[in-house]
Amino acid sequence: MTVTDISQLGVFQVYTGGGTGTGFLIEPTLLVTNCHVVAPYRQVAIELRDRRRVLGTVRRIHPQRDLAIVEVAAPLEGEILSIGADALLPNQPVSIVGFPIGLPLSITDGVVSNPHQLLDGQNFVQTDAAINPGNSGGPMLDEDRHVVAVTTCKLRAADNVGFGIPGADAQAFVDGFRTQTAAFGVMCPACDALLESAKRYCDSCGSDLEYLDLSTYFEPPAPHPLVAFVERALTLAQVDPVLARHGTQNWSFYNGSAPIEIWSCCADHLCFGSPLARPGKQRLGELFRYLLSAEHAPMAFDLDGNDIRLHLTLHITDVFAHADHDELSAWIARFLSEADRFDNELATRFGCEPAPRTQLTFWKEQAKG
Amino acid sequence: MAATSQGSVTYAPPIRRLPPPTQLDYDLLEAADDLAGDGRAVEAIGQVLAHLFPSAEIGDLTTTPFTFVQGSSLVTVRIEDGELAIAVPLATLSADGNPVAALRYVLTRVSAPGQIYQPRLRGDALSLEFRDKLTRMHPAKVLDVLRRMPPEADRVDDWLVGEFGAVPLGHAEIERLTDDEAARAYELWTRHWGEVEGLLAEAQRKRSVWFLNEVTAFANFRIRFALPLCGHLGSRLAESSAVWNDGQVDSSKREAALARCLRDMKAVTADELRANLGHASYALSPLSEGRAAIISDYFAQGGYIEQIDRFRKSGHSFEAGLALVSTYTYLLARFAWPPVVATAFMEGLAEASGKPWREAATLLWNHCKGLVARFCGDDAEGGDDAEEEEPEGGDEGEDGDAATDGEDN
Repeated sequence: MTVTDISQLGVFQVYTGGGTGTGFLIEPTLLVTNCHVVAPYRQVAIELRDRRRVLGTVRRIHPQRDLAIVEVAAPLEGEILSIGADALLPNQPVSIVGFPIGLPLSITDGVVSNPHQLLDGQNFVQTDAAINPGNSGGPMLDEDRHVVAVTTCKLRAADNVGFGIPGADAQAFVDGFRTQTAAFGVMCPACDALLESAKRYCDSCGSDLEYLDLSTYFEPPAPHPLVAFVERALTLAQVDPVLARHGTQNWSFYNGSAPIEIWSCCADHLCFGSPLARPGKQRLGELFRYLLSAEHAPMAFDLDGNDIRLHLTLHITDVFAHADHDELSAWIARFLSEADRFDNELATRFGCEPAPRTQLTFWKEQAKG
Repeated sequence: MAATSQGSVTYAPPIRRLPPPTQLDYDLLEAADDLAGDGRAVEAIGQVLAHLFPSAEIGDLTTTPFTFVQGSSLVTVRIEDGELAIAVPLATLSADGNPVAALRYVLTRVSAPGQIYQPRLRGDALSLEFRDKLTRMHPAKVLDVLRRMPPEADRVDDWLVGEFGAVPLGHAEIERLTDDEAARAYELWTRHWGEVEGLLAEAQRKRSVWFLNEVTAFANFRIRFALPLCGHLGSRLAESSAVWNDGQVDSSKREAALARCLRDMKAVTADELRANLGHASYALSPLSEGRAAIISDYFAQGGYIEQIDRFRKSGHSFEAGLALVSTYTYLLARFAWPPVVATAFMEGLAEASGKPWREAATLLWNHCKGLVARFCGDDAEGGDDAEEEEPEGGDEGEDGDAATDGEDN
């Protein structure tokens, strides 16, 4: 592919409470991705190159063809990709662009192994280009940067056997969407008619849709109590939980300059961490004493490798004992604000360097202030 | 080198006092859950303590702190200002030592997310602390702290003192060995590392990971079983064995680490060893409960015992015999058995002691089958919960070698 700077492509990472995937721009405010990347969420987060995230609204999904269209409120910067429907040939070079295993934007090359591989009654473009979790929903590009397929899956039991949804199918899905006005809809797996509510039988073709459990798309299931607890606390702390989601019972976002991670490490604990800074070369004793000082309780610092990390751990029983949720939410809000404060304090008081993931723009602004 | 391909390793009775299994009353925990559900937090905490410390007298925590000993650590549980506070002093930093390295160690190895207690520094005093409101004190939370924090403190305090020159702080008294015990301990120590040196040479000659696993397990668990090792020497051995007794680590790296450890341990003087031995008390048993299902899991059937049988029948008595000795030693070191079972294990080791490997392998094979028949009853076809009995950090390895272990203490 004749692209030397893939960062210019309109390809972005999509975050939900179920995982992460890839999406690509077909218009400045529209992205195509996989249904399995976004469903059952109706709102998702799109991460930009500068790590900011913007809200995306799921407008259409096609569970059978594993396609989805997500709309963002403001135009995104990046090259809009055209979906190509030209005939593919075996051994034709293709490139997969996306975010494998959550890594930054990456490209892998290969060839078309089979342009019409039939699996479960559907056609796929088979390729030997490396596909990994996180690539789902991303573009499979030809040498002219046309999207020849939408990356969807690979065979786990085999090497270099990946699949994409043919460009023609993706184009038909997009064309159909452009003629419709419904805010949200699910495409009938049998006739591609638009379903605007959860129905057992398709109005158009009469197919029994019971097996699709359409209600989960129209009315997403209630979140796990732990998810509800965290997202309520984030909302109280003025953090949009949709923008913070990073997979199942995981959240990641920036609060000012501080990267925040929230995860459930085991059945017993809910952890909050923020890698803030790296020790300088002098006054280490003084720095370490400060980090271990009892004044930080219930928070604490540790050294994760060479990163100074602020952390807070809640016991899972706290999540299920609703009486103290307000106080615990206040702890979480304090953790977020302290993380944003500490990275600057560690720099100014102890000469620490920013951690690799510190949001430097905000860090410098606050350090100056 | 006492151990060669001709003669089995020797057995000597342990100087360490073998703790009997602790009978825990789990009904108390259920009662604690009910009390906590009714908002009676103080009573619920009392039930949890009664469950964990069945022989202790626990008073009114709001007026009288409850204190217990875990090895070298002294743990205090109190209720004040509507909060449960659990604390254990670790050490005091000393300018004569290396306080910066000590602080870095605590920040790197002790403080961490995923635990609701944390290290705290007040002045120069380091401690592990937990504190939270009674209204949030679910019994599972109390258990989580009390099961994890005291053993962690017991592990860390000696290391801070021995490695970084920190000063002991609020440490529990440990009963020192008698002269006779100390003499026997040094003799056992010297003989052990000599035998391990011979076994390591055999492992390098055989170039078998399976054999190396048995050697390292024996090297680690015989000391843990036989000697009441504490203090910095115990911590050093634990840190080193975390490398050479970890089946996931590259074999050459393990062999090199064991060789270095051997050199260090053989250089330990009688006085130094004695200073690092003592009969410590453990309010919370550091051992898992020994059950019949564990015996049947190792000796009744399964890949591990079948492999031993194949070795035994194919002229590899050394491998078979060492595996059985290692497993007996491992089971004695890691589990608290009823006295009759522990005695049976030790009798087996004593009978095989110093015998030619072929004879030792046959003797222990018959002995372990006798253990299954004697203690396992209906469980003899394999216990279904033996896996659950593996202490945290246990690592069985791919070939079912149960004695190799990745634990760091």
